[in-house]
Amino acid sequence: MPDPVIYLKALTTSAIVSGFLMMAGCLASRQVSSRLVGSVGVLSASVGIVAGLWQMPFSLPWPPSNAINRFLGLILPALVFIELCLSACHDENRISWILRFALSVITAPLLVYGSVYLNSSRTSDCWSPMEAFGVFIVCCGLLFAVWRMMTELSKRSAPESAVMGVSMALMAAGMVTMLRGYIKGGSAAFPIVVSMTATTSVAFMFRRICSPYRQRLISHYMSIGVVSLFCVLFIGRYFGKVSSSVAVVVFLTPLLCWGSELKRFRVWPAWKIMIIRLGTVSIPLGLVLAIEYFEFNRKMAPLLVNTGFVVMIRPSDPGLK
Amino acid sequence: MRRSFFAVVLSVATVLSVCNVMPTAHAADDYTYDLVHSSVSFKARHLDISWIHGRFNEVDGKFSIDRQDPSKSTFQLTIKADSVDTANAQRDEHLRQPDYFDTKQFPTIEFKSTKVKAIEGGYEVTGDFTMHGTTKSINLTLMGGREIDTKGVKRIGLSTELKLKRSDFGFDKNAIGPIGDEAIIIIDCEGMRK
Repeated sequence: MPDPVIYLKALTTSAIVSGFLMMAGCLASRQVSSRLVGSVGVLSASVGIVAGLWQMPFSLPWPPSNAINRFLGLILPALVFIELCLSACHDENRISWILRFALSVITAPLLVYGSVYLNSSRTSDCWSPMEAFGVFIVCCGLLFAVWRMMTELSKRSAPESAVMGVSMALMAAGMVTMLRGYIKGGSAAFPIVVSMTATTSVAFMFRRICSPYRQRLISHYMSIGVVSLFCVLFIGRYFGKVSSSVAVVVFLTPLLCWGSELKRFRVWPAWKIMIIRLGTVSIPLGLVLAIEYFEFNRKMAPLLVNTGFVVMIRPSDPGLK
Repeated sequence: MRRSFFAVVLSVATVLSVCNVMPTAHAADDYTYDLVHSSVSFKARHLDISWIHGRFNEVDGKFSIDRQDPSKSTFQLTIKADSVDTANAQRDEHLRQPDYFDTKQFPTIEFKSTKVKAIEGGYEVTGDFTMHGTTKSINLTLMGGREIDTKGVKRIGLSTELKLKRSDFGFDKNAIGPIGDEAIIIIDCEGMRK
């Protein structure tokens, strides 16, 4: 069972570390060069994530033996490295999207590496070469498309709301994975959500300093959110019990933020656009969470209720003396 | 002269034929795991007040027992982690997930002996136990080993009980929750050969 105190401590650490680093970075970049804020955003979000995971505590054995360890120990560091390199470049160019595409290609195969899906001698769950190819193509296509579209959206009005949309979807992905019984897999999402939210809040507060590079700053650390969203849902689907439909709905939900780009809304002020985006994202996510919570109460809760009852009548309980 | 030559040839031939026969006499007996008459079960503390029992329904194995030279005996057991059964379908589903057995990543639990020593009433076996992707050397005391013949099938029975800490095998300590870290595994198996 997750310990709320440990979670609270970990998430507070993530928020403080990310927020403080972003604030310090914004102030420092004013003295040096405001172009630095792009790297500062990626760094503050990633250091906050590491601090939160360390508090949870997440141990990362080497070599990473399962999907969640490969996500946190290989994919996330590779992504941070790519985004740091790209944020140091002058302009976003073709190379940046080639690197992101390469990461999209390897993500799914890396997550299922060594599992029953790729090992014919172990069980009947093994995919045929065609099945594996199909899964990898679809996953790569979905990840790259959502990544590209959300990055594009972050270059438009109210870019913070695009990050918040991704963060909300990632939060829902973590909760769904936990409600389906994979607690560690789901909980990995929370420090990422909190770090991204803290970084975004500080970036919003210091928007005048970041102003010339604000969109680029957000697009870089939003990549962490999009890839994490994909990985948490993929792991929840193939290693936990998250259904395909729920995984796809949650993953595609941030794209609803594009609704604000309709001709009618485009001219609206930034705060209204933010409300439209977050509102449209929260409706399907709320529905999915409600359904999953109902399923959890039906299937998993009886096990936990029994546990609670036994705890209540434990003889060492001081109330019984 | 000729008679003594034949005697030498005959005795050499006898020695050679005995030598040829000897390895067969010392050859180990190979047994296959009889799933119908065997069980691999476990129990773990619940909230440190009671025990939860479970078993693995799909197990495979083979033993080779050399009665002349027990150190040449070998024991192998492969348990399909997916077949965990605690008489509660929801709990079994939960146990298959990555917080516990992670059966999609680590589908089998395996034991392979590396050293065998005969003891009073059984064997002391050292071997590699692999669970949840972690391999550790463990010691087992296998009791039994007496062979009987029923309807042309020779059978032996072996039993052991061992204590393992789940956290030693890469299980997340924070996910251990109300189920205790230590699990007792009880193996009662029959091997058979024709």
